[in-house]
Amino acid sequence: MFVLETKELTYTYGAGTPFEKTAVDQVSVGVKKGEFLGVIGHTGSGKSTLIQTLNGLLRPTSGTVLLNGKDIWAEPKKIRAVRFQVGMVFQYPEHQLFEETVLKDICFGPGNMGLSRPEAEARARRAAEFVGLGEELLNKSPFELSGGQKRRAAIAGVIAMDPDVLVLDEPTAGLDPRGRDTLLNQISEYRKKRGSTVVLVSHSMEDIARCADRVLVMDGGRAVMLDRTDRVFARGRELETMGLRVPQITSILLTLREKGYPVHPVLTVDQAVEELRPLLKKEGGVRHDP
Amino acid sequence: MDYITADKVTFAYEADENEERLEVLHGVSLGVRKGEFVALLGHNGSGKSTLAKHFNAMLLPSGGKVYVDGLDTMDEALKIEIRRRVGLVLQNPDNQLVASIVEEDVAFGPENLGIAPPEIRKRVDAALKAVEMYDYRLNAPYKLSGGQKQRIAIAGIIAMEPDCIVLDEPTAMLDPRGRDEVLRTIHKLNRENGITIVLITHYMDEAVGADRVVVMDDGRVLTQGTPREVFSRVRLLKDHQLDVPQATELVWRLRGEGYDLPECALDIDECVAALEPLLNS
Amino acid sequence: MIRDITLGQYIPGRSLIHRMDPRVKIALTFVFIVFLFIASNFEGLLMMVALMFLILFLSGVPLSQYFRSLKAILFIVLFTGVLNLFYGGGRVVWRCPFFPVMQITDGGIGNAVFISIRIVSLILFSSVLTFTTSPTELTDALERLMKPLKVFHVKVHEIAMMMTIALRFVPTLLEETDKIMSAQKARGADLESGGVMQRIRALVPILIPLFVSSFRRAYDLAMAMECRCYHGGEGRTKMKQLHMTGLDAAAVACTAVFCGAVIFCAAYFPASLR
Repeated sequence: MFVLETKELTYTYGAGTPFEKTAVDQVSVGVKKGEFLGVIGHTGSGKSTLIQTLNGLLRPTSGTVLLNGKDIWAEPKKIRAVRFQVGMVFQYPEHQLFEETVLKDICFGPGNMGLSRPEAEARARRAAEFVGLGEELLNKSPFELSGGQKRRAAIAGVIAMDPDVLVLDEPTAGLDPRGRDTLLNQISEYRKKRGSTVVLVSHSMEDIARCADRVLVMDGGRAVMLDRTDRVFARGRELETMGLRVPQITSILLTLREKGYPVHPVLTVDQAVEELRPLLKKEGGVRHDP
Repeated sequence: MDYITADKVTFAYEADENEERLEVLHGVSLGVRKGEFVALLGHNGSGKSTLAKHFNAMLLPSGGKVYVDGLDTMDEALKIEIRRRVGLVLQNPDNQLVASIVEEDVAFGPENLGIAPPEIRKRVDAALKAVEMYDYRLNAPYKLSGGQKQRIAIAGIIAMEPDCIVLDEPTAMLDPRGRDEVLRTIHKLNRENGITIVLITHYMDEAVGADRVVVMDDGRVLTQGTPREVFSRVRLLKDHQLDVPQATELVWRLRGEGYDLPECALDIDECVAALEPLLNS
Repeated sequence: MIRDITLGQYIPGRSLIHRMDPRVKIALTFVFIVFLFIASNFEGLLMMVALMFLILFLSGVPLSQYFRSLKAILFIVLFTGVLNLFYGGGRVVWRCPFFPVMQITDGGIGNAVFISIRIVSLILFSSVLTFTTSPTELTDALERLMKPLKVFHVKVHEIAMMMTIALRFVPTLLEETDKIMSAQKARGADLESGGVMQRIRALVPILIPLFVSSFRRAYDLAMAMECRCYHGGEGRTKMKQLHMTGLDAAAVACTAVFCGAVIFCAAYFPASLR
């Protein structure tokens, strides 16, 4: 059963004007409940537009978006309710912080849902814990926090709404490798604990390879691939023609396979080690240090 | 003599009365040779950006000295000249562009230097051609992609005819295509125009292409050397929670298990070449 | 589209008007407006209207664009015109049956027409300026024209720099506002419903982030400017030089002729406003 589904979804900017541009073209995809779906595509492939139709920020020009089987636009006046079930974290989410204290800012979402003060605060504290924000930070002004802390506060603000589906657009953008690792771990932990569905849009193939169960590939507004992660990245050469790369480790094993070695493409270094071990001779290496 | 010399540089930001002075750089000594391509790697908070801003006198050392082509950055009178010779490109492409038309923005630097208008025209055209953005000279900046905007920012620096360009995480906010564009541009400037490049980054694959890599951690230089020398010290880097390219890690892990592999593979090709002889076909 | 609205819609082109020195255009627009008010009779006004049509034609901008700019102030023109209908001298033409005080005179009709033409011409003269002159040209021209004010310690260069930077960032800030709005809507912000007070309060989550980000931008930009050796207006040169050409001289001469005609009409013919 799909928690989120699109049926022949099309979105055209500036329809009828000379600036008309079809950003999403007849896309029919389904997000399975509880899965971690990665979305990749070159800039301009329509992935950002697509995810904004999932929580009703953008209304499709044609086609439908179904949340748990129901058309989200069946009652347009109630579209806001959808955003509490499909939570979206935008790129550089720290730019949305505005309240006097971190706690109040995280409460913004729950507050908009109509929850009482105590309820909203309880949720906010839980969310802050999930992202690793200490108690002592909650009463500070969000603008006193470091960049990484701000980002986590912003993400907590969306998690606090306790959405069934969490959509993240490049959550690790601008973070250093350590920051990236920490954040992805937290997202995975959150997903496991709460059982939510996560949709992650990213340019980082390594991130996607690490976390995603399935991958949706967008190209020129169309959904061109939707399959298990390992199967998508195994089609590395195809992805390259679309201007996408695969994780370096995948590329290494793909290259070896093309040279005739019996290896399967992998997603992580751990997997590569496992894959190669049975095939490697102990001696005979040319110790060339080029 | 090095073009840029940092001699036992310490730096602390001015603190408010109640707070302790936070020392960010603890006695860093570093040299950058003319024409070199140096990558400065490290975490956020390692002090790499702070050090970079000393190279064009945006920040002055609390202790120690910084010399640019023999000029002391502490000398107020030399500030403009130092900034002409060492340009600085920052992370956010948008917040560096001043004018509503590309070529006017590139002209900003030379205009500040009081260069004669016909000469400015020539420099602007040359700079835009060097970054391959000449066709966009009459465009408005907001319509450009991140990678294009960064290249305009670089052109704005080149128009001042610097000897060296320092780039502080110039690709952090860009998509993969933008990153490629910017990296290609700075390598080209280094190779063809002999401009010294100091690239501050946390992307390992960007450092792999440098002549020399300097790794910073906690306000100090942790290690430095050619990319090969630095990335073969995988244990050291990992202990400081720094990454190595996946190719390097794979070879290191297998070598650690006893396989007969070279000390360091920097990229896909080297990794494949290292593994092939050991694979049963 | 909306991002292209900066200073009243610049429409790029190569017409004679486009190619004029922007300083001359600004000065002449000022002169036109003054003489629109000096014209005291229909004959004089006709001179200015004729000049206006000449300029509209030479500007190469389609008339439909001009009509669109008039649409915006249509209400004001009608309102003013109707008001003037009831405030004139001369012979009464119609009297309101319910309020005998309200009466339309032939003088009133004349006034209404006269003043309406004046307002429309004023808008059209200004439109020519903004349609044919890019925002950058306008700020450059204003900077040069303001130079004499330096004597009075007016910070001409700084003001011009502020205008340039503001123009540059308007579209960027609009984009950012969009993004912030989307992010807050995604958290359930309701920007559409409610009374005035509620809607204003709903803007807080948009405005504060916008302010904060603008300050950050300003900080970054200041640093970038210093990196590029900015040190105020002293010793600065400009790549783009403004040159007055024969075209500008011809425009000034032409304007002088028409303005002379206006004065002649004012002296020779009786006044039209009664």
